[in-house]
Amino acid sequence: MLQALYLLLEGVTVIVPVLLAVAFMTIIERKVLAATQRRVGPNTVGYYGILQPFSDALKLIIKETVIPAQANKVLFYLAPVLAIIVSLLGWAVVPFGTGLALSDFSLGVIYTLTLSSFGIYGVLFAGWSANSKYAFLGSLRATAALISYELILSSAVIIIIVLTGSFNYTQIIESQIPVWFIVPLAPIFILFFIAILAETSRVPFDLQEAESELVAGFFTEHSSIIFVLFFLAEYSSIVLFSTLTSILFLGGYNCPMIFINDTYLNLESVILGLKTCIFCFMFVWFRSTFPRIRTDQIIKFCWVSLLPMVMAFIILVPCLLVSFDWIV
Amino acid sequence: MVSLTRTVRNFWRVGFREWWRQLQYIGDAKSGRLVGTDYFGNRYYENLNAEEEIPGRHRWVDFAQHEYNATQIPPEWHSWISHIRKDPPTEDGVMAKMTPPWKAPYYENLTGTRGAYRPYNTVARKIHAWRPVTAPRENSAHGS
Amino acid sequence: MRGFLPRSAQSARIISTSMNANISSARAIRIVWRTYASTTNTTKPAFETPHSQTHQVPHLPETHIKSFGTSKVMAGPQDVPGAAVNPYKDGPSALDKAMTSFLFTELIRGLWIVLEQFFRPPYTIMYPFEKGPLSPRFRGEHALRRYPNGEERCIACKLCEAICPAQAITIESEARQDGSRRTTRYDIDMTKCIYCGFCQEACPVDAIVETQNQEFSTETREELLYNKEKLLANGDRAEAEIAANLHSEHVYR
Repeated sequence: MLQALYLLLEGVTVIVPVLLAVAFMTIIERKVLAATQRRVGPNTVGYYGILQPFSDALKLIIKETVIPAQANKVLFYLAPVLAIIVSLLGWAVVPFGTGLALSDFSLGVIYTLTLSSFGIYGVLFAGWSANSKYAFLGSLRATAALISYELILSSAVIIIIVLTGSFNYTQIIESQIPVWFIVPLAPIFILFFIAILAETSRVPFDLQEAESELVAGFFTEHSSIIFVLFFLAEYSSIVLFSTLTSILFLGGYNCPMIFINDTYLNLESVILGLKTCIFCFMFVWFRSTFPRIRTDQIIKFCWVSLLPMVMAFIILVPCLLVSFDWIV
Repeated sequence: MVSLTRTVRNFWRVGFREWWRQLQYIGDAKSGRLVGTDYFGNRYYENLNAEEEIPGRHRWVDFAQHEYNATQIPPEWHSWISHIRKDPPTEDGVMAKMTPPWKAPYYENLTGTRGAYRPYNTVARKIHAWRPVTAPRENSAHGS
Repeated sequence: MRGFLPRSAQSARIISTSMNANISSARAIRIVWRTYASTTNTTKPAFETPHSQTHQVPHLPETHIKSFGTSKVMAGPQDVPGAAVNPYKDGPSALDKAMTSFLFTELIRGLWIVLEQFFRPPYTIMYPFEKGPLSPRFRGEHALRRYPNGEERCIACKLCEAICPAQAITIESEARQDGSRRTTRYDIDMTKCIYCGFCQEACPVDAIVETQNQEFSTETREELLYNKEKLLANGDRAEAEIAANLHSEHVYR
């Protein structure tokens, strides 16, 4: 009993800060977008608008929940719940510091990839159950794009796995102590980042909620609290993928030897957070820069341009390892 | 607005108290010359340094009331803060000469309060509704 | 490419390739035009000027011609009508194009521009505290003015009522006890008013004016049906501002 309570507490200590981070990700997005367009952005709720996400959340929660009469109600409610659960489950294997993970799972990378595949079900259920053309088209597009870019994502991760010889995040981080993987694997990092932009369905790959064509994409019919769940899931996966990028390519919670921490303060989580912030900023930065591309272009770009490249790297990297006898 | 150097510089100039007050209202640290105060106690500032304030943000008001409102600025200062006139009314000779002795005291837009304007008719009524007044009966019927 | 595609498809292909290689749009248009001219056997473009009549291509300013690496793009010789045109003739080399697309040079340039803007101060005016510029001729809320001795100016000539395109003004007049004609009713329906300023143009005595006040929004429609007292009160409060603005404009009137 006590053991179960303890485990619950552990989970809460991860999920609450994560949800806070997700809430502040929304204000970061609005502020950075505003700054790139030389506006101020939200600035009245709290000093410099810092409490805006809570105001937004409150507004969304007290709105009326409208469900289409012809909707499949079970799936309609299940979809956002599935989306949020799946994107929050991804945090279970993220190491926030040395030994600071809910589960130091030996197959952590596989677990993450599996969950990101499961995320498609939320989109699919939402689009199908709403019984609306916009939601359906949005979910079809999203599913096609997500499945395609899943390949790029997994293949890019496989190269790292080949290099480190482990599926465990902690070991991947520790094998980056000599050099961060972004240096030798810069092209693969670019492919990976493109893939996670598509996986989180962000601009320029935000077809599933193409505001101008499909009203709001697959969650057109979702309102109020169930919309909040989708919203949280989307931003949670942005923060999660930013964290994973900084773990896989920027050395996670480690930092170079030029910075030696002589104090008793444990700065590892702070370092991971700063690295994550870089990628979160990049997500918004890309959003403010690039226009959305077409559905056929997005699929074609994946299968015709990215996949051959990533396959070439999958062959190249092990060849280098074998020929120079670098295999771990 | 989000520039850190700007915030720190203006904080350094205006001090903690003023900065805190600015944060409560305008939400930004600004520093400039106090141009004047109107009879409601609103204070008007100006910073003509284009390096520090983007043109258009170089004149601002610090409202005296907590429930601030754009219409609390009297017309003379409205001229100044809307960049209609170059000089503030304290230094504006034309404005001082044009002020009539019968000038009415200014009040803000009172809509939504009990002081709000309600339209009424300013002329005497021309069409009068028919008022059903019965004429008193004569007693002739009784006589015949 | 010759022979593979019909001509229209060929020119479409030319557009797409020139887009990919970031040839400037003017150049792309020129290539397409040349192909079009060669297919339709047009000898003289409709918009050709006498200056460039010797050239088959429309004249473009020199600044639109862009150089890619070492290959300076020049105006090519006259193409033979009817013959296929090699679309890559004047374009950048294959290496240039590969570098452009594989190193994301265009994307990075765009990102850099956005980042530059990110570090610049915003243009937002914090409204109730700072206000945007207004003209002394700005047409806002109406007011009825008085002479400096306090006598109201309006003589009930009804010119404003006549000229008002929205028919927002209603005037009734009577002789006052001293014999002068004055309005008894001067109503402006501010919900009808289009703020065209014709009333103040028409007024022979500068009685009705539009002040620079734009912050007279109300919670009910009723409050926007102004009567004479309200308009006179507006004038009494803002007379200094109105008079100063009229004074600043008097040289142009």
